Amino acid sequence: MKPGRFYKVLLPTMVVLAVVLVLVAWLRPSEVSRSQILLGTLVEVTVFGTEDEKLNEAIEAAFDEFRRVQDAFSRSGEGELGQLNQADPGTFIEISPELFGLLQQAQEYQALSQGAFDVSLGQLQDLWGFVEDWQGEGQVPTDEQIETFLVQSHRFTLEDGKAARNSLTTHVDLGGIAKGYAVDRAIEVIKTFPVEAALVNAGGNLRSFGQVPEPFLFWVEPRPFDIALQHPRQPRRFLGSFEFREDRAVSTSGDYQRFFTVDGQQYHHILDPFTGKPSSLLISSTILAPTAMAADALSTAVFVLGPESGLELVNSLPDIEAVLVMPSGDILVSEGLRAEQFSF
Amino acid sequence: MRPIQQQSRMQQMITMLKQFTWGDRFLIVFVFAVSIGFIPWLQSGDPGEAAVIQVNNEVIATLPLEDETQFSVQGPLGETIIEIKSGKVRVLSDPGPQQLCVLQGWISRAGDSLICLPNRVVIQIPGTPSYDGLIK
Repeated sequence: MKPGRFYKVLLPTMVVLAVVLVLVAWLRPSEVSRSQILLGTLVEVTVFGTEDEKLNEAIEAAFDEFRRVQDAFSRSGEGELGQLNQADPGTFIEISPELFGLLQQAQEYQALSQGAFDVSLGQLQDLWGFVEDWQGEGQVPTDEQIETFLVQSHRFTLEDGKAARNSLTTHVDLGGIAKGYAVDRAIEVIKTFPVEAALVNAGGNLRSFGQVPEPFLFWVEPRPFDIALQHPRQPRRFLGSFEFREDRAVSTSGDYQRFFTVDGQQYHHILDPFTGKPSSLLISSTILAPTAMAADALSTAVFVLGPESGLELVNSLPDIEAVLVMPSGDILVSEGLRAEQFSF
Repeated sequence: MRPIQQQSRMQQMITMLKQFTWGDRFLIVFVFAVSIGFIPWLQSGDPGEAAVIQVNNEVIATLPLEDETQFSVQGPLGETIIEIKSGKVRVLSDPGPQQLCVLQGWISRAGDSLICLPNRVVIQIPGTPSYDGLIK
């Protein structure tokens, strides 16, 4: 080859290609994923973006927020919720606007579900052994013991930034709402960083924002998040999957998530406030909602309400969809589920 | 004969290409092929070939799945023994009361995980699974 041609043709071609390759590598969004055990479950945070350092900072900030929520709303600790749970019945104590807001939301879901969602059953949960730092053990209480916790209708009262428990048996446990709230807070914190998309999954309580920036040849093609739903009885099988195109949340409540076995009989953690015993109308209830807190609270509520009343509630609410699994294994879905691109 | 400067761009290009030797053409095609070949490499995620072991939210080991080994870790409740064999990993024993991570058996796919929650031991196979998020 003549040297002149090398300089005129090949060298420029190689330089241009090298520059393009470096640019593709540099502009290519990376994915950073980490997980930690928090709020009694495995929390996985995944973020997508081009600034690697910021992605790591975003994940750290998300975990910090999880830890903050975990410590702030522990029901038995020294925090304000712990204090409320030890206060004399009828005595109002000052609480933070954040806790006040959460308790208000809890009351709204209680009203919406006609009592099926109830955050004031902490003592009943303790009775069954489902304590805050549950390690897998439990015991079956007698009917007389359970009876004590079934009679109050208004279990706590909220007024001007203050809260009071109504009786000695009221023990507020935000377990049915705090995980979803923490996921929402983590997403909000991540959004303050230069992050293109994120996924926060706290053991079956998940929220996404944005779309996955998928590199395709020399450009980036955003695609929806693909969210798989595990079969409640066969962990290696999927029940189906959703496509999340926009900010969306999903949560599953199931009888297989937390349970103990006594004399061959399984007892799970989702207690029916009307009977004081584990609810048995469904084996799993999956709710899609705009926020993880709504999905969290409603998945518990619908699990307790059962297939008929549960679906009726879901179909009456905008932007809420459901996939319910009956004890027979039959699957029921809400009216608008088709729009979620759910595929079996 | 028309003057050279009146040739269209296309004709100029064709004239230039005709001057290339086979060696030139081979080199150009070769450089292109190598560059294109790099693209999938840039896009691919990690292959699921290792198990990342966390205890108490700290990554303490990354073990290749091709190894044949047993690995013991200490959690708050006691000792969890992890076994790796023929590209798979399982929890051989764990002090947790329900033994969920032991009963789960072997895992081998990217994205799979074993969680011994009471003993705060988490085993994950990194890589790109067929989904972005899994609801359990």
